[in-house]
Amino acid sequence: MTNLSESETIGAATTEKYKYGFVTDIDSDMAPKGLNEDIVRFISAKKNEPQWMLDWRLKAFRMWLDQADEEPTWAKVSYPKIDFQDSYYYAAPKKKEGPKSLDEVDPKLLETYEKLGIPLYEQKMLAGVAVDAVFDSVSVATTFKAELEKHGVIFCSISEAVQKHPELVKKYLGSVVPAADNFYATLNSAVFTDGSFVYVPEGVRCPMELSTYFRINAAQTGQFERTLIIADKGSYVSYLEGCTAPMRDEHQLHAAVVELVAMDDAEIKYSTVQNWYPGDENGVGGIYNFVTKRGACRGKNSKISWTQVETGSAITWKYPSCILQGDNSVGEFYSIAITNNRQQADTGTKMIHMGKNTKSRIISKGISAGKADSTYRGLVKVMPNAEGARNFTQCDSLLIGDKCGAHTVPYIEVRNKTAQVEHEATTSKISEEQLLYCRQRGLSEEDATTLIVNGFCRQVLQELPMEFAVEAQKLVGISLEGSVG
Amino acid sequence: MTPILEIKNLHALVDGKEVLKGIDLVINAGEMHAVMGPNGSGKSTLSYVLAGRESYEVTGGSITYMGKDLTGLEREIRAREGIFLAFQYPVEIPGVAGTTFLKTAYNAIRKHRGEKELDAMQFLKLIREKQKELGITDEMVRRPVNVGFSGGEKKRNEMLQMAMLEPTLAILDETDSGLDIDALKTVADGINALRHPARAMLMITHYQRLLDYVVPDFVHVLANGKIVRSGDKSLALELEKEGYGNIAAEAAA
Amino acid sequence: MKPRRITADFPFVGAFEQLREDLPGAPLGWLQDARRGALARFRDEALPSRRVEEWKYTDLRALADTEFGVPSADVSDALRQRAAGIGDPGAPRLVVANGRVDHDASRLDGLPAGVTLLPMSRALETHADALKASLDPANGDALAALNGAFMMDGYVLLLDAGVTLEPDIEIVFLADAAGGPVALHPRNVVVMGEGARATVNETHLGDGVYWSNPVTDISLAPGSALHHYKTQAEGGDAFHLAQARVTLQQGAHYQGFLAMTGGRLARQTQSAVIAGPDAAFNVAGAYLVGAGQHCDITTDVEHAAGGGASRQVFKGVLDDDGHGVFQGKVTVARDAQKTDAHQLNNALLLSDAAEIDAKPELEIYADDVKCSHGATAGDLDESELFYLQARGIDAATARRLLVSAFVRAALEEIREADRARFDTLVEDWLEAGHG
Repeated sequence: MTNLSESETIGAATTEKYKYGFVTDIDSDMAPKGLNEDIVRFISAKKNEPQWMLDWRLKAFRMWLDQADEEPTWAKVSYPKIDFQDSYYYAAPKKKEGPKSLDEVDPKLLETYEKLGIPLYEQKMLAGVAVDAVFDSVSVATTFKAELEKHGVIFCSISEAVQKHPELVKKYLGSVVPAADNFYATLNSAVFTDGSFVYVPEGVRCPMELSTYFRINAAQTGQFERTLIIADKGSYVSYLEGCTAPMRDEHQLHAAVVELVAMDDAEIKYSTVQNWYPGDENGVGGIYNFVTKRGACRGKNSKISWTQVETGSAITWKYPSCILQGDNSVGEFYSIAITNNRQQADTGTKMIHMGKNTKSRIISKGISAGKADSTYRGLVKVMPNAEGARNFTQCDSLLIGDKCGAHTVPYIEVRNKTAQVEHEATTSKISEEQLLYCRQRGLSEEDATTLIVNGFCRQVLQELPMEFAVEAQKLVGISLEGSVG
Repeated sequence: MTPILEIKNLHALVDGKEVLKGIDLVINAGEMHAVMGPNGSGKSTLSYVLAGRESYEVTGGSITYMGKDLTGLEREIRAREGIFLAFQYPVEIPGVAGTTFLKTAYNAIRKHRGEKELDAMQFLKLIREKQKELGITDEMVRRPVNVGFSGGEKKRNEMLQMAMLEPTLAILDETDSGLDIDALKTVADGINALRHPARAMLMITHYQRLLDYVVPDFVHVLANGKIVRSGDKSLALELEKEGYGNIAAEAAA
Repeated sequence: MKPRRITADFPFVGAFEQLREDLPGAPLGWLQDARRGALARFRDEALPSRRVEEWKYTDLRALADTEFGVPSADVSDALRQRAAGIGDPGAPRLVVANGRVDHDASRLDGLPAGVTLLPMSRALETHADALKASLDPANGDALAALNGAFMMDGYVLLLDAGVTLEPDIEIVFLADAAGGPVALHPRNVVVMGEGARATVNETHLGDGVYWSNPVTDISLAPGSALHHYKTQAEGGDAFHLAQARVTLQQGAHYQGFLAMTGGRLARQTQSAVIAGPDAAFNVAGAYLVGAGQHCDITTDVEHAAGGGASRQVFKGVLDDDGHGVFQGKVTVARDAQKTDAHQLNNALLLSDAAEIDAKPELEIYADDVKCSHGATAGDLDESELFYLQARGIDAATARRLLVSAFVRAALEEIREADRARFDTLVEDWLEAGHG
């Protein structure tokens, strides 16, 4: 069914530039520039956090100072050293009172969402999507709470969860990505401003797809969201994340942390379409997207599935991973990473097999065009007790033009003989024959390229929820603009 | 009446080597022409030159299509103007569903003609009709283009595309190659069904056997880059009996 | 932060000044300077720790903890006899025992015109100028620099243009550390003229605690072809850290095979630069790793020119607590269009404690290429075992058949005529109590 809409969406896609490049003019409530303990306290105070949360942040901040020389350098990306003191760590849209309904939300904000194509109103209800929109750092609107509450599903901002569900936050925050996990995650633990919190109680199938849109709006604001999703025994939740950012000349840092916990028989499906501003053709501006995403399949028969379409950001550094602790648990990673112009992406996954009969599947499609570099970096690790572990990995790279690079760096570590691990990778370009065939049937070179690339990505696209799949196919076209001819 | 295709003294290079050495050919609406010849005579080159394949360089002569010069036109524009090449080796495009591919092509051509593009439902209705005529299942058109198709399925798929895109000039490059007799009959039925007073067809083949099922109005023998003999269908039978040897020798003499 | 270097205080390093007068090429001033330069580099860099990406899976701390001294000239008769039994007794051969050529055991006469086969010590007397271009002691990583400082006898094979070397030659390296741990640094040079062809068989054997650190530089002129087969069957307490570096000019062809069964810690680094168009670099191998053993195959193939092909096929069999490592890297430079590169590593784990780490890596900057790699790990196929047993074959034989068949696919990468010496590789290994 989706394939029949491709030609329309592709047609539209090829004529678009970065259409999300607009800046909303709202007075920000900003923290002073720079980073020190006072800023951490400022952020915590702004959010009226309890002492335990402040302590957690301060502890992380001190660990971050200790990690000063551990800023990761192993990824195949290059950029000037980041001055962490030259950034704002908190920017909240000014508001008098928290909005009671959408009518009270700043109309300019709603306009922003409209431009993004996020329907916050009725049509969204029909689509059955609950949206927790993160605007810069503070959640401004959450819809469909009532419907979710009826099922006992908690879906709110993490700030709200700290206030209202401290026992859950205390129990799970940092339990998958420890506060001092890595340089960027530690930074996030100290200064995270907001993000989503989801708890799906035992036996509940979340009645709608949960969706969050992120935007980095204020200039030079690092965005540090923190997302925590817990699927209790036998529950199911599908979470969609869309990211866009306005065009700016300077680079902006985005260092998010996402933690997922799946208990016995639970399933979490996490889908991302990442379209942060990639910078211009010459590499001016664009987001540094340094993100730590990790899920723990803690219970038996649990499942975590990551699907990502990464087309934006100047630099992407991101490895959504699964720790397969529960017996028979399943981890999946489906990824499309498209880089064009001067973009650099180093992305992949880690699948850590600990439980018996755990299974993982990795499908990665990397597309490089322009002067971009795209790297798949992944780890499949089978621990000694993971009897009967299975992994299948397929990494395909496509090069468009002769100024780009495509790289594959898999790490495979097997400590159990009953494991079966298979890894395959290919690198190729779009064949002249395929292009000729398409053009002989009347398609322009650009349309033919988009069509063939969409075909190349099909295995991943079909993992996305319907409405995202269409958006993602459009993005493929937009991202490759100017890469042919 | 303007011919659909008029080729005059056509010379062409492939990878720097002259393969076509002065071809003359006129095809009018409603006509079916067969070009036959031994391997390496330039048959496939002729079809690729007409479709505008890169690395096939026209060095002399002219190709006039519907009264206009064809050389220099982009490949997709030729297609949109009504030139259809049924490939000898149809190309596999993994991941792209047949319906998506064909709908994209179909609408590109309609748009070029200033016609309204079809939406998914209208398109499906149309393709189903054509599928029925060619005995092509829904499953087959939903599969990625040509991927995992048998030789016969690939050629039938080409016929389906031709039926959908309704070309003015159809070039069938070795459409019979790799087919068993049953598949050959099916494909021949498909071709015959598409014969139309407004359409011209150019059939390129090595063997006579396709001509038992698709009867041409004219037969040309291509040898060493030139048309060395032209005639009616009886010429094909003569070739069948005598082989290409004599004719090639005559041409050389 | 963990350090990137392991500092070690090897006795032989301290004895450099006393030793160097006895090492090959002592009268050559340029070489003495180069040795000193190489030593300075090693002292500066020390041994790489696992923090260094290329050494992520191989830990050299056990090496650093051993007090390696200077080798004596003595090699046991048992070892000499084993050496004598290798290959065709009539074949030209060079035997190097504890870093020195063994003239009695070597047979260097009767070679065709245009072929030079000499131990390094002799070659530096007769062909110093020719060797100068091929010997850069400080070139490479810290281990190569250490070899450069202490380089000892190895083989020098020079072939004039158009010469075909027949028959195949045998090179045997023996190590005997009866007198305590010793370090050996064989240095080998192969220079093939245009269109020259040769087959070189290399075998490494030894007893005791020793560290063999050979470096082999191979230069292939346009159109030349080298078949290079190496059997690494070092003693069970040995450290074997070998490097072969191949440069291929236009249309040159390299076919290697590595049979790795010996050593406590073994690593073969196989690097190649495809410098001229349409050259082919192929290497296949089997690593059979048993109790207490660690075996690492690291390849680094750089396609710098277009139209080249590279093919790597490795089969690893890991038994007991054996640890296997495969790190394969293929780089295709921007201008190396039409490159066809393939890399495959299959590992068979026969025991619960066995371990394999694989890192097949592609780094590609040219678009019109065909590059692929594959890696698998797992046990023998239960259904295949069952099938064989259901036909009346006992379990042990069935396993042996399947393990042999598994390794066989690597052997099929080389010419049929050259496979004979590896025919019983797997059977011998299984006989020795593995599997």
